[in-house]
Amino acid sequence: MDLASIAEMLAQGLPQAIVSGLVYGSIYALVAQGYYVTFSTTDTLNFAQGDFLMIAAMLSFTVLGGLALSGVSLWLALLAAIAVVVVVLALMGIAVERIAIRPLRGIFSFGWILSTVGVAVILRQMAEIIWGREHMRVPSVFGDVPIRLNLGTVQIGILPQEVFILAASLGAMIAVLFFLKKSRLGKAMAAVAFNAPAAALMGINVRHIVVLSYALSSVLAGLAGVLVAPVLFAHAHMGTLPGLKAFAVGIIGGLGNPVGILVVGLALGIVEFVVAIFNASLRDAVTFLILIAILAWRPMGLFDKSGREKV
Amino acid sequence: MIVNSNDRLRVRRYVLALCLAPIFGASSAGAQGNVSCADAATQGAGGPDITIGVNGGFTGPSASFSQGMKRGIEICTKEYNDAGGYKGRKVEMIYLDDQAKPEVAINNISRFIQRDKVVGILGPVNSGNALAFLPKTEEAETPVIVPIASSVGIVYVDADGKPVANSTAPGAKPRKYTFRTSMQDDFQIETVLAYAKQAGWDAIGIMHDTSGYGSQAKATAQRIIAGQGLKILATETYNVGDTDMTSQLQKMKSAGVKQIINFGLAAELAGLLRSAQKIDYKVQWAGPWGYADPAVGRLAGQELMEGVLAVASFTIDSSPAAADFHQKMLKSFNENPFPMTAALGYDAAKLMLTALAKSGPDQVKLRDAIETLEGFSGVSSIPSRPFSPTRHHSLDSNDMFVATWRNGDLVKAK
Repeated sequence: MDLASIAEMLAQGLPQAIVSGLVYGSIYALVAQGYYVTFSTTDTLNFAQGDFLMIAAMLSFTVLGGLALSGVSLWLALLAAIAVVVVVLALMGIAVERIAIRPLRGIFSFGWILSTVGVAVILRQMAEIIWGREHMRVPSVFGDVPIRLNLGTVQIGILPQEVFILAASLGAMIAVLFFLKKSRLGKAMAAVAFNAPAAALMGINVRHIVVLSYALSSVLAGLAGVLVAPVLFAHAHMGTLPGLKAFAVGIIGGLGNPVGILVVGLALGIVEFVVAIFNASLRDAVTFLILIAILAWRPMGLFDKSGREKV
Repeated sequence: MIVNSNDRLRVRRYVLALCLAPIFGASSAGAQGNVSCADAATQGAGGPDITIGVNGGFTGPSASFSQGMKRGIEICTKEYNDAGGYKGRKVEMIYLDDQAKPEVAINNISRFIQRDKVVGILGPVNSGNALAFLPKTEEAETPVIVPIASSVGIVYVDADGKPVANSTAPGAKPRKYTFRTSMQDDFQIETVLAYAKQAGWDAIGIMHDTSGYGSQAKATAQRIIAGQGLKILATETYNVGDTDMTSQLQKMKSAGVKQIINFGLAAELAGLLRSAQKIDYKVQWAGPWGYADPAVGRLAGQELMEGVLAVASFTIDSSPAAADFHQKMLKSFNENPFPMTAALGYDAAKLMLTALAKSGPDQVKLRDAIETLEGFSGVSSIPSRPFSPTRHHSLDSNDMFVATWRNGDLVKAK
């Protein structure tokens, strides 16, 4: 392949790759913020995060589908789905911390890795039993008519739902950042992250903060699930790859830096789609190739200054 | 499912179409007149039931294929038993679900052979499951007719007994006890490429998923294309699980591709249709019978299926016998969402029961009767002499045709 043809391919494919990449990248970033929230407060994270996303997508299929069939407007159905997902996922987050992480932390230090991976497998099988193994279509509130932009020789398209994904996930991430930096609870979480014993001495209930961080982390994955359900088809294995890619985003960006996670998430999304222009079979692999390269060069991640090793 | 409320409307449309069919005259391919499994029944004093095993993926990703197959077999069995069965003895079909998992399929087959003492087996739906259990049925000398699974190596093996990808390769021979009414992959590819050549397609692109199925199909297509002189402008791949393939489609578009022949599974096909719509890329889609799966329309939206081409051996308008069979299905089940699978299941069952009338309930004799069966009529485009000692597939590329989606139904393409 000579340079001229590469340049031509990029000129034609890049605008669409950037648009699609930003949409998928924002989802990886949103899920990865969940890893950040729990890792900063407890040094643990939930490897079932991708499957939490899947459960949320399945729930939104059931709630949206059920309500839409009974004649409720799609908007109301969407709000109901979000409400159900927030409550259920928060409870799931609390349960995972209580059952799969807290009891194992004292026994041996990496037990939580295995137990949360176990939770992921259990969730996937449960979803197969409850919802079956077929792919399911979840309707989008915004319809399926793409918005098209004409840039002279190149045309790009984006689904209204994808615009919503981008806006809602960025909005959610900004809200989380504000919550962590400005609210009393957020500051308490930061204090626990910085020094748990000292925070406890200051009258902060460390246990409550840890539970809160797990609930928040799961709700973020749940929100991602509701957002992507109409674009990805809902099925029991839909969360595996996004969960892993979000983990890569967390590691590359630095699990202690939410802004780094956002930047890396969006960038990796774009890289994926640009790679697909040249060789689509490498699309999923490239994320992990980059991960390995970055780990060799900067084990603490690109944006984390604390110097803690992540793996 | 969310999007399925117009079944009653569809039934009404079918009934209307059937009433109009005699007026306009239906097309002539396939069997003439009505086909019934009652034709295979014989009268007699009766006796204990004869058992046949049916293995399919009734739950799981291939449920829509399996459900259609099962219903086709059910209708055939009922017609047969009501008309007397085998010399007054009833045939009992034992249905076991393999959940599309090879290890479950192997268990089911062992049960059929050891506990149920079946005289023959119908199934499976998934090629991987067939490849997993066939050594067992060959060893037990139990005849199997495969109605759905389409991989070449299920039926054809090389001198060492290894599955082959090309049934015309030198040294390829059929497994002794295995037959198929399903549409073999290499012939499907031949059929769609022959259609492309005959239709004068001049801006063809090939797409395939990176799974074993997709890559194998692409290799077969390349082999056939080389001998055919079709020009391919571009080839692109995608991974199983991908939903946004706009990067690849943009390349196809800028390469000037007007027709895409694609080899992949239902969910990714739906993703491709939606991605093409997103970038406003209007292209003629064609592919093997995966495109006949109603799941694609359910996922992508039925309007995107309009005009999509799929290889077929049965459509509800492919012959008078086909139209009649479709009515039977509607009458018994109130719906017939995937008519081709029902037809292939029906024909597989009818083949086995017709051969049974000649051979009696003896596995080895039944195999021979299947292989030498003549004067057969089915509801798909199956020929009257389906098999021979060197040929264990009933449908050649000449028996397959290209069908198109129109107003929610798969019909013969012009």
